[in-house]
Amino acid sequence: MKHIEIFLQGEGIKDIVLLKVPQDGIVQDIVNVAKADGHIYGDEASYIVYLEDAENILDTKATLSAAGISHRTHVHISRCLKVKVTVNFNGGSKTIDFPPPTTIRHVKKWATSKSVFDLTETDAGTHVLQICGSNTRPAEDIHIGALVTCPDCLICFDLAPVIRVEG
Amino acid sequence: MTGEMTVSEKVFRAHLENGPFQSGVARKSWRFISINWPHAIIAVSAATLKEVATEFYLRFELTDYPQTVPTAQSWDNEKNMLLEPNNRPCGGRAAMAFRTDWEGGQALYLPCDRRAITTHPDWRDKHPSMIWSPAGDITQYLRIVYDLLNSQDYSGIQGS
Repeated sequence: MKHIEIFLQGEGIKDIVLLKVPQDGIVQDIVNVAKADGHIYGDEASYIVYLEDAENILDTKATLSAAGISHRTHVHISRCLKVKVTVNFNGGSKTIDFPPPTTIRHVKKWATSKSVFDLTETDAGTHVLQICGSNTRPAEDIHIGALVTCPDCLICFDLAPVIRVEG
Repeated sequence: MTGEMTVSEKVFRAHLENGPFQSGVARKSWRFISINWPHAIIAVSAATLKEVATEFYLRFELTDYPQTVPTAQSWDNEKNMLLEPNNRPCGGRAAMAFRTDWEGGQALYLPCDRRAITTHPDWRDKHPSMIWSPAGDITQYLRIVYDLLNSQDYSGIQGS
């Protein structure tokens, strides 16, 4: 049986994982292999599979190719349907629901947009999302669903300035 | 003396095969070039400016990886030597990281670099998100450099 590798992020998965799944398999195989490899726990039926930065839930019975998954596609697995995201900036606070496979890049783009905190392009380039109450600044390709746990499915960020390295 | 691999080299090579590094390869953020332990060369992509795609080579020194913080030199892979000042990145924070007026340009001026953090212990408090963690892998360092080379600050190569 031929296999392909996919990049998997998801709830409870610490890092980006390379997962080997059957090339002719179905979406459910991703859940099954993730569980067999010890990346997820509990009832497989409660997990949902998404493509990166996509809103639609993938049909677990669909073939990987029909679901748009090929070698080295970025995929997300979660029990959350939505993630409630709060972003704080300059004394203000905004909250929105995003799908779990939404990247940090996408959330920052939303937070800095005209309708939210209205940062100029220059200011947006000198700010990053930092998890509230921590020093953690997730990379732009990290999925927000990888930073939460079900059933809470929520996360808070501060839009924090990039401090110049000098001195 | 046998040619047996050290534990550090085995761990490093395993990290190169793992999701975080390979995800960066798939996104064309960086690519592996070579290993001659304890050194390894990795190319990091910079933003495309004026339709010119550029990458910069980092020559890591990885003794006791990942317990000990790596240090990296900006490298000319063709000449097998430090990258000359005129060929280094320019613009704000990118230029600062690749500066040549500190320690002779022998290391990147970043909190994730062994040589830099050793001489700037205050950076642990000032830049906690850029401090090396032995629990992580080489992508900690690569992501910081990639972000700089793809930030608004980056404005190309100094001599161009």
